[in-house]
Amino acid sequence: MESDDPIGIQNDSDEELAAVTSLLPSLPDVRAAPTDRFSHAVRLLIEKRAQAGWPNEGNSDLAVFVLADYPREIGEKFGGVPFADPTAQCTPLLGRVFLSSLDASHGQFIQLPTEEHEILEWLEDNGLGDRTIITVYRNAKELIVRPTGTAGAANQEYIRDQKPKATIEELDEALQHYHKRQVLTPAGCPEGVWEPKSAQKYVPGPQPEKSIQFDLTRILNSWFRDVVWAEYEDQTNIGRIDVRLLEKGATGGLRYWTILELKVIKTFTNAPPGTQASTVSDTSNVDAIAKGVRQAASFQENRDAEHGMLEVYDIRKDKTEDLTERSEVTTALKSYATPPKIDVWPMFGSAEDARKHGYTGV
Amino acid sequence: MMSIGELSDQHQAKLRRQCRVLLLLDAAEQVGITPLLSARLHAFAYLADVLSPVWGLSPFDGKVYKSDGGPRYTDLQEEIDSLVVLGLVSVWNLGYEKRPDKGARITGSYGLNFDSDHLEKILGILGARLPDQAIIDADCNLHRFLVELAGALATLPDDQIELSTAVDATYRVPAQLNDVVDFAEWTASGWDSNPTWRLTERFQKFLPEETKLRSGEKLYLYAAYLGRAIHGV
Repeated sequence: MESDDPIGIQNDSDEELAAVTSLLPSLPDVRAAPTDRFSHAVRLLIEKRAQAGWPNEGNSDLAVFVLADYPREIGEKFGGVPFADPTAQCTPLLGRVFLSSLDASHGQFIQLPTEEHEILEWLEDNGLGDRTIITVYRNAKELIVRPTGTAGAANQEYIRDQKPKATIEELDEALQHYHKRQVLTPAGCPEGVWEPKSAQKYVPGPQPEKSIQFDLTRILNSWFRDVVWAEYEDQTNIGRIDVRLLEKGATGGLRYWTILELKVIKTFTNAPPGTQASTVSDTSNVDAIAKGVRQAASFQENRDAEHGMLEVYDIRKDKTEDLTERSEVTTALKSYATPPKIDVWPMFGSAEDARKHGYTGV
Repeated sequence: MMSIGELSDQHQAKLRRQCRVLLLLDAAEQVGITPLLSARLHAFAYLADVLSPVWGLSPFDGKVYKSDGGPRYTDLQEEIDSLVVLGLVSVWNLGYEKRPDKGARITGSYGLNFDSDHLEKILGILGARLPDQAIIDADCNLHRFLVELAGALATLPDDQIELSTAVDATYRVPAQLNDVVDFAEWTASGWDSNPTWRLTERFQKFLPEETKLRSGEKLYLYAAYLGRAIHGV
């Protein structure tokens, strides 16, 4: 009888392929924008080094990573030395400038060519100032990411001493970090959350939920790199999970760990320039929260996830009333044996408003 | 100036092979794995062929001649040498290695010659730069595939790129005739005749239903599979 598998492809066991598939959270994030992909890779490299106690490093405090579209071409101009897989090779990082590929795995390095505090000027003077630049400070335990180079915004990230774990406490910390750093005020908010120039009036953008969904996924993938894989649903059909967090399954592959449902409650509808924003009633906002509760609980149960959570981003002008205490919401919560945890994250149309509500330092 | 259509079939084929070499080397340059040993460059060319369906593309060459030292395309090597002569490709550590049966192979390490006055314009035309510079829009997609594949292969230690072909799901299949493995040249069953592609499709099975692997993710997973297979994990 003729074999169903004449070329032997089934010789690769499910166990082996499941084990390979479970590596997904540690592989380069091909869905991310190039600057995010680069910063995720550098962060993983640096944190692994830090968590191992900075072996093989000298006294220098600073390492610099420059995203190079052609690392060899640029490296040779500065007398660079090739590097490959610095994690596996334990290549010393501090005291060097790495002209690096997108995944921070290959490229060329040079010794710091100037005093540490003058490195940005040196990069500018040598035609590298407009590239994505990441500076790493060992003593301060921080990474400064400059996605558009020395002249653009600088985002600070902490170098963690411990590898993150797939725990609800860790997730809570990541969500708090996201709230404080990205969405508390319009300055860090992703495009689409607020209507441009109307944030102070609390007019939302065209798709605030979608914008937060994409941005939160990006941050979670950076936070949980190598541990958990965050994925957003890119279709808008009702009934889809907003953000799913997958972890390695007991038999390989990836399984649901946590599902996040996102809701944005607001005072106004979106209103493009020249149009008047309509008011959104409390009833509509409460309905949205109650619906989020049902979605989070149902999806958690249906997908056999460990956790279901509802993240409510509050962009109302008046946030006095806690709408999660309304009977529609509490009734929905009581109807599930394992009700989802609800977080409410206040967002403000200006830094001044945030400060008035006790958020100092913004 | 003569248009491409006026060239003989033989010259068109030669030109296509030269373009392919430049695109392969450009991708390798972008991920920082150049200079690329000749065996590594041929392995990259082969893996780009067997993995092209992952990106929805047809392979440049749908068959491979199995030899001891891994995939080796004589006609591709001729064009690499031609491009060195034309000043578009640089070579380092040129040498040769004796083959077990008879004869020898040229060895060397290759990369783009960034000092060439013509390289940048040619790469633009071939789809390795902005889309509006490409003669054929689809070439930009091919280039993106090669860069992502090069990135995936870069996750393997350097010497394992060429070793990985030995454990590739297609290359390890017993050759059917004259030491040739056909995965897309004369076969009637389309991509199903490509064991490598079939293996990459199996990763999806180990993920929740709603999670759909992207093409790039399949390439990285396949590279991880090759890395483990080399070590017999």
